[in-house]
Amino acid sequence: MKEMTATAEKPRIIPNPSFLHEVEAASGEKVSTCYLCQKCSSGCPVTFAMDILPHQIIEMIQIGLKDEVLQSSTIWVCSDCQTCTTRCPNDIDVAKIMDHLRQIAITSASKLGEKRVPSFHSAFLTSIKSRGRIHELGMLLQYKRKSGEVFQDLRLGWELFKRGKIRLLPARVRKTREIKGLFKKVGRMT
Amino acid sequence: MVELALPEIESLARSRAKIGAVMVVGGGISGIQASLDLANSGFKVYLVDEAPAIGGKMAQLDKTFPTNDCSMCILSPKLIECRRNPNIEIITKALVDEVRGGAGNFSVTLLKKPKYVDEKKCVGCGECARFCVVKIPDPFNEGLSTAKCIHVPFAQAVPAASVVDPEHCLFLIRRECKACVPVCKNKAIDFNQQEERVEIGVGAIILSPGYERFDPRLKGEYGYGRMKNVITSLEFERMLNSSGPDRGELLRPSDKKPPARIAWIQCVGSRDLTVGNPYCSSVCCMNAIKQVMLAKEHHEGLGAAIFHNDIRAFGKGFEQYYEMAQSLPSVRFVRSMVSSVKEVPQTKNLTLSYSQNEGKVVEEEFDLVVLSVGLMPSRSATELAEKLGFELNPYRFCSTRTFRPGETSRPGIYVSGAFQGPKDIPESVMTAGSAVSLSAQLLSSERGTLVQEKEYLAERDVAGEEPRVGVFVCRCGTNIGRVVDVPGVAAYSETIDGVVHTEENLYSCSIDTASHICEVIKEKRLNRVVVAACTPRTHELVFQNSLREAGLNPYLFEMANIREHCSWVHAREREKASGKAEDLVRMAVTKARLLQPLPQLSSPVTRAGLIIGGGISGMVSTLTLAEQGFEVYLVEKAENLGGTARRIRYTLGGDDVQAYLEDLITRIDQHPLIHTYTSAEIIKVSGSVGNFSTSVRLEPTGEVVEIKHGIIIIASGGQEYKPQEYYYQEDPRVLTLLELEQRIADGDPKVTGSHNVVFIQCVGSRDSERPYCSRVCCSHSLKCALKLKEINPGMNIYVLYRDLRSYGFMEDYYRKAREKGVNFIRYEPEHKPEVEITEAGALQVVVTDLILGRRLVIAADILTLAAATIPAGDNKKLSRLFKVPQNRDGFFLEAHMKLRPVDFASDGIFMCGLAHSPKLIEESISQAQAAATRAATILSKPEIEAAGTIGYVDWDKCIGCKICQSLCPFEAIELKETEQGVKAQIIPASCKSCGLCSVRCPVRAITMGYFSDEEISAQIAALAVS
Repeated sequence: MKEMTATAEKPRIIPNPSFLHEVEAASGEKVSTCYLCQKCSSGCPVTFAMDILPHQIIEMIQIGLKDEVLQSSTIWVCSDCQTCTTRCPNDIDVAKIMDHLRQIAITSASKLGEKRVPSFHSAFLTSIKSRGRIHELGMLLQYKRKSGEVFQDLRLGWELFKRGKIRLLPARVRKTREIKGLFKKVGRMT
Repeated sequence: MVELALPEIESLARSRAKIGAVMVVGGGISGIQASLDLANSGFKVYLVDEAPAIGGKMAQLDKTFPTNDCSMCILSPKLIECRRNPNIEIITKALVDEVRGGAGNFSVTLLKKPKYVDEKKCVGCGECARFCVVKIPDPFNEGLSTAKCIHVPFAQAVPAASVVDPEHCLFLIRRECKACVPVCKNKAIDFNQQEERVEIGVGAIILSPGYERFDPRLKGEYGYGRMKNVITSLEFERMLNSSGPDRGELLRPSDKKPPARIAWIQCVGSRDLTVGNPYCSSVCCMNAIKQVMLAKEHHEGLGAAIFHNDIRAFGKGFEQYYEMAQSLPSVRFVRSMVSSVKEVPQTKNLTLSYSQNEGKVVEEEFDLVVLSVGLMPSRSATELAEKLGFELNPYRFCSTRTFRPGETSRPGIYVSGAFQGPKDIPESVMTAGSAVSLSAQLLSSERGTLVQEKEYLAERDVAGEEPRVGVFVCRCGTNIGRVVDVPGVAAYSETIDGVVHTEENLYSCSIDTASHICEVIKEKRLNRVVVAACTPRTHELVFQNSLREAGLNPYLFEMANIREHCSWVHAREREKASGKAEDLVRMAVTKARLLQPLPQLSSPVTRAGLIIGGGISGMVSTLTLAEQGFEVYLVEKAENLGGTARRIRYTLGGDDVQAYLEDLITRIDQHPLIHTYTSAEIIKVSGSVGNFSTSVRLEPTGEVVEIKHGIIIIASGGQEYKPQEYYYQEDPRVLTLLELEQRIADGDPKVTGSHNVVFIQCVGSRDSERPYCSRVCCSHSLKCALKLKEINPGMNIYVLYRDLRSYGFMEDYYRKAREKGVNFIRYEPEHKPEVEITEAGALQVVVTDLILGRRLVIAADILTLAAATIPAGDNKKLSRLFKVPQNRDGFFLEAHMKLRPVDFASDGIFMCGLAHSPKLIEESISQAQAAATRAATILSKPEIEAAGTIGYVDWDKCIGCKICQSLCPFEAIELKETEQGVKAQIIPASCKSCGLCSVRCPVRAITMGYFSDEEISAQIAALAVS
C-alpha cells in the first residue's frame, strides 16, 4: 500500500456507480449498505499478504475503481474463511463478494494482481476435471508450468515424495464422464 | 397503603367518572420526574416499580455527561422528594397484571411480590444483613461485589427498607436459618408474606419502564463472560463509583491492579443487523467519552482508545465535551471497529487488532476492555404491551407517532423515557413532562380532587433559646471519608461552642438519615442544624425539609461543604484536609448560632401563561396549557404563526408537516382561552414568578397591550445559517437543505431531474465559530436524499459527512439510503471539500476519500449545504428583557443540563424547542409539552411560595436615597411614602437575593436574610480562631 500514501500525485477520480451495480447484480449482495466500520479488515487473518484491505475493496467498488479492484492481490489472497461475513454488522457476505470479484477478474481483467493463486486453482480443477480426483504430481507440474516457479519448493516436494505422498501414477474415479458433465453444467474454468 | 377501596373503584368505574390519579409504571428518572410533576400539579400518583427501590439505571451511574455531575447526588434529592410527597405512593416489587376500563377511568391490577420485610416497620438499619449468612452477587454493583441475601438495595434507596432475595434465602428454599428474624429490632421481617393482588383506580397511566442493556455474550467474539477483563459499560460505571466494588479505586477484575491502558468498543449490540438491533442506542458515544474523562481523573497517565464508527455527540454541549476528551493526553478516538478480543493467558491482558486506512492491521494490547453495550426495551414492558394491547415498533420499543410522541396506541396510556426509544437523562426528563401534560389534559377536570396538602408540625419558636446546634458529618460513602478523618471531625465538632449533638453518617442524604435528623432535632431540642457534607446547591432543600418536618424554621440550617471544597480538591493531603474540614465546620457552626428564623413568603398566582414564539414549540405549549384550562397569551413577532416549520414539508418518516401546522393553527384560533398576538414585539417585562407583567407592541398600529401572567415560556425558535462559503448565493445551483426541501416538494425539475446531487454536511456547525453539532442536518439530508431517490432512482447522490449522526431509530433511514445507493463519503475538517466551477461552468466538488486516500471529483448539478441551525436573532434581546442567560452558542441556558432541561434558573420562566438547542420536530413537541407541564406546577396552585432569603429594609435607618432601587436588576425595590418619609421596600416575590442593594446602601439599612453582615463576619472570623 505504499503508493496510497502519495495522495497528491494520484489522478483525481470521478466516481461511477456502474461497477457497484455490476458487483451487486453478480453477487446478490447489497455492497452499498456497508457503513465502512472496517470490522472485516480488522478481523481478516490474511491482510498481511493483501495489497488493499477488504474494507477498501468495498469502498473502491462503490467509487467505481474497477480495474484496481480486479487487479488487486486481495481478492486472490482471501481464503474464504468468512470471518468478515460472520461479523459484518450489516450482514454483508464479504467473502461471497470476493468470490464474485475473482470470477469477474478472470473473465474481464486485463491482468491479475496475483498469478499463483488462480494458476493453482486452475491446475487443481484441471486435474479434477480429467480424472475426478487430484493427481498431485500432475497438478504440481501443471501449476509449475503455469506459474513459472519451477524450482520453488523442490526440497519440500522431495520430502513429500519420500513419504509416499506424491504418487507417480494418477488414480481416477469410474465415471469421469459425469464429472465432465458437471464441469460443463457449471460452464467455467477450463 | 391508601389506595381506593374496591367498592369505591367499582362505583367510579360504573359512573365512568374520571379519576384524578395517575399510575406511573417504572421508577427511573423519567418516572420519578413524571410523578413529581403530577403530584405538584394536583394529581395523586402511584409510582410502581418492579425493582425493590426506585432510581432506575441513573442510580447506578457514577457521573453524568456533559457536566460530570455525580449521578446519585443529583438523583437522591428527587428520591427523597418522592418519598416525602404525600401525594406520591411508591409501590415497589410490583408488576402491572391487568388493566380494565378506558382513558380517564382505568382499574389497574398490580401483582405485588413479597419482600418478606414490612416496609412500614423497617428503618433500613441493615442489622439483618449483618447476621445473614448468604452472600449474593450485588445487583446494584452489577454482580461485581457481593451483598447479603437480605439487604437494603443501596445506601440512598427509597424505600429505605431491606428486601429478601427469595432465590437464595436459605429459609425460603429449604426452611433453614431465619437468622435475620430475631435480630430485627422492629420485627419487620415477615416470611409469611405472600404475593398480593391490589386493584387501583387511576385516570391515566404513564409507562416509563426504561431499558435493559444488551447481553454482550451474544457477541461471543468480544469474549465477555469468558475473559475477566472484558466488562460492560455499566460494570465500568460501578467500578468508577465510590460505592462500587472497590470503593472508587479503578481496579481491573482479574488481579485488582489499576489498568494503564483501556479500550472502549462501541456499538456492541447497536447498529447491528445480525443481533436484530439495527438502531443506534444514542447514548453510548457520550457515555464512553464521559468514562474516558473519569478514568483519566482516576489515573492521570492512563491511555485510552475508543474504537468507534461515527462519534454521535449530537446533544446540547456534547460536541464541546467530545473535543475536550480529544484534547486529553493519550486519548485516541480510533475510527475502526474491532473484530474480536483475544486474551493473553499469562497476564489476562487483551489484544485487539484493528485496521488502518494506510493499509495496515495493527495489534495492540490493553489491560481492560469496556464494551459499550446497547439499550434494549425492557422485557417486562414488552410483555405489558401484549397484555394492554398497545403497539410496539419493530424493535419492541413503544410505538409512537411523530406528532404525538408521548402517546401509545391505547388512549389514556402514555409513554416516557427510554421505552420510547434509546435516550439520555435530559430527554427522559423532557418526555416525562410530555406524558404528564397529556395525562393532565385528559384529567384536568379532576385536578386537585384526590390530593392532600403536606402538613408540617407547627413551627417551634426558638427566640430566646440558647443555641443548641446539632452537627451531622457525612462520609458520602468514601467520597469524603476516604480523605477526611470523619470521626475526628465529628469529635472535634463537639468541642465547638453551642454544639450539643454530633454524629457521622454514611450518607446524610439517604432517606433514613434525613428522617433520623428529624428525630434527633425533636429528641435533643436542637434549634440549629449543621450538615457537613456536599453542596447546598443540590442538597440544601433536602435538609431544610428535615427541619420543617421536625417543626423548625428551615433557615436555622447551614451546610459546610467538606466534599467539593475539601476532600475532592485535597485528595492527596489527608491531614491538611481533615484540618480544613474542621475549620469549615467551625465556621458553619459559628454562623448557624446567629441564624434567625425567616418567614416563608407566599403570593397569589396569576393563572395565565405567556408564550413567546408561535412556531411548533410555542403553539404546542400554548395548546397544552389551554387544554388544561389555563388562559394563554401567545406572542409571535412574525405576521403568521408557524415559525421554521413553515419551511419543512415532510418529516423523515414521511408525515405531512404543513397539515400538522394548519391543524395547530386552527386549534389555536378556535380555543377560547388563547389570545394570539402576531406582528408583536415584547417591549417591557416586570414582576416575578406567579405575577409577571409584560408589555407588547402590536404592529402596524403601534398599540401597546399589557399582559398579566404567572409564567413565561420562551419558544423563540431558531433559524438556518446563511452559508458564507461554497458559492452559496453566488451560484443558483448551491442550496441549503431547507431550500432543497422546498424545491423537491414543489417538484422543481432542475432538482428532481438532476443527474448528480451532492450534500456537504456540517456547513457552519462543529467549527471554531459554532463548535456545536446542529443535530438535525444528518437526518434532514437523509430525508432529502431518500425523497430524491424515490422520485428519480437513477440519480447519483453523494453525501459528504464527518460523523453520520442518525441516532436512535433514524439509523434505519441511513441504512435505507445506503440500500438505495446513496454514496456516503467522509471528510475531516482539516480537509474540507472544495467546490470548483470549471471553465465550462460546471459545478464540481473535490474531496479526499479518507478510506482510500484519493481525491475524488464529483460533478454536482445541485450542491446542497447542510447549514447549521443557529439561534433566533432576537435571543439576545429576550435574554436582556427576561434576564435569562444564553450559552456561548447563543441558545438559552437551562437551570441544569440533566434534570431541569426546560427550566431557567429564574423561577417561573421556561424554554422549549430550538430556543433551547437544535432539535427535531417530535423532540420540540415533547419539550414544549414538558415546558407546559413545568409551568402548570405553578399555575395550578393558588399561591406561590417564595424564599425568605431576601433583603429586609430597616426603615429606621433608610434615608430613601433610591440608590438601591436604581441598582436592583430585578426591579424588586419600590419606594413608599411613609410617615417617616420615603422608604425603600422589597417586593419579596421579585427579590432574587443578589445582595446588590445591601452592599451599596450608604446607611447599611438593608440586611440580607440568611446572609447578614453579622452572620458572614462571624463566619469569617471563626476561620482565624482555631
